Amino acid sequence: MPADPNPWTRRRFLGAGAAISAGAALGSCSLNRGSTPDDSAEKPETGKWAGDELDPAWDKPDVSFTDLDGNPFPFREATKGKLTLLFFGYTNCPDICPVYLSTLASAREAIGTGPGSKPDVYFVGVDLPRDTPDVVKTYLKNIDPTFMGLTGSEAVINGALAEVKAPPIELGPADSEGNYEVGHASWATVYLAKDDLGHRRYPFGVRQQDWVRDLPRLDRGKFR
Amino acid sequence: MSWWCSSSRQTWTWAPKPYLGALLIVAGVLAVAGWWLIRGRHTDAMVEARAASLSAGDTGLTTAGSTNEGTGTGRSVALLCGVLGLWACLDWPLASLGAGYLATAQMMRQILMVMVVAPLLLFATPAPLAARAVGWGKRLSVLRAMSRPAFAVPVAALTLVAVNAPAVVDPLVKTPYGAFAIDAAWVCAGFALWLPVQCPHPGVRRLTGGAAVAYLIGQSIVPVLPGFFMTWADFPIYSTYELAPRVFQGFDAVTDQQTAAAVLQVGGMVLLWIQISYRFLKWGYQQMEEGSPRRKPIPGAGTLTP
Repeated sequence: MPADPNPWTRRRFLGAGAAISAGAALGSCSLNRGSTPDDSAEKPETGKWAGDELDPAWDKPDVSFTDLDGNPFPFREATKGKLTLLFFGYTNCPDICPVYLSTLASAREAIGTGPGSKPDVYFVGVDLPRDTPDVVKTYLKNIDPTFMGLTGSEAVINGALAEVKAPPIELGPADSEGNYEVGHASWATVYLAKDDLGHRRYPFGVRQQDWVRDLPRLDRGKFR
Repeated sequence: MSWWCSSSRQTWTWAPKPYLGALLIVAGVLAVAGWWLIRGRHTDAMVEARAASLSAGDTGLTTAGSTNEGTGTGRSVALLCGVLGLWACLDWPLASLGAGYLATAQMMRQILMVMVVAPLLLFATPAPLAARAVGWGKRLSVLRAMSRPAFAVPVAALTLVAVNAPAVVDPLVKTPYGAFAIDAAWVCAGFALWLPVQCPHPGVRRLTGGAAVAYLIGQSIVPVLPGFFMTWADFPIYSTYELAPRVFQGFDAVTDQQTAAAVLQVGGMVLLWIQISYRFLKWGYQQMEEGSPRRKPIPGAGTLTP
């Protein structure tokens, strides 16, 4: 009797199929998309953090911005006792700003409810001619309506930038269509609610999963 | 002009940016085809001898030289489509988008390369060309081993799972060399996957009929695994695409990842099942023809013997 030219017998195929199905089923056990974190249970804290720790901690900028309704916004007083993230950017930014803010917005949404789910995120528009209150309002509404926009004079914004150790506003050369880029700090400084000090800063490159891991801990006052 | 695509983190523009390496590879394939058309020896002594022996008696052996598939026009069309697919896969804009901006584009490239380009190029390769390239010696033994499902299934599966792992993708797409390695892995996986059923060398026995159908059904399971993780992961699994400048407003990283999973699973499945259906129907018709009494009149039928 000649040998079977096909080494893949039905039994072997069924075995391979069963093994792959079992692997997929086991893999699915570790994935629970759409679940809301259980806030009632204290999760074990892991030592891993994204971003950089600020040592010594930074004070909040002692400046008065202008909110999008045109009212003065003394930053230090207005954000007292709240988990606060301060980010400088501009609405025409083609890459860093929209990706950074979208990542943060997605993370906030993924946290759902509980600690870290409602940080006060402030976006300061550094492109003074183009970042008008209406433009900033529309821009943030498209990314996350809970994010708050701030504007101010060049002196005010540069003063705030200096307090977060960032270089002052720098407008790039305009192209043929009049568009230009604006140099700005590409990180958010996180001020804790417990002491109103900036203990960490998160540069561009921090991922959703990092924010989801860190924001609840930051809201509980931990930063290392 | 860069030689190969890679992730750049620069804002996406629709300004054409061709890649030298892609153009050279496409030109190389066309050059081989042109050389074969103009100067190649279109016959091979071993191929002819095998064809003659096979036509003399039905041995049940199925190889590239023993089937009537692959007419000149069919092969030309396959070559043209394969080369166009190869070019689309390796060059701007799909390659640029896939390497640095959209997981969906990367999965489209993978499907295109593995499920379309590889089988088309194998189909387009004439048996004498394959015989000339591989010969009839030790290299043929290697090709025979590679054309066995026991080799092809794990190699194709492991390669396709590995090149979709974030730990592999994210570091590799940062450089042209890394992105080239991923593309090369796709080519290897594609040829590994299709060799058992589409090997052009006449010295290699192919899977046909039910065995080929069963083999391809088995291979259709492979894309499910990476697609499964991409669909159900809580967060974007690739940092490259999560932190890339957006190409389309509102098409965020998670949506991109889920679309990529759909492309991988549905697109790959559809292409594979088209092949499976075609082979199943062909096999079925062959079975019916073989069972038909009109096909082969039995010698001496109808005569009475005392």
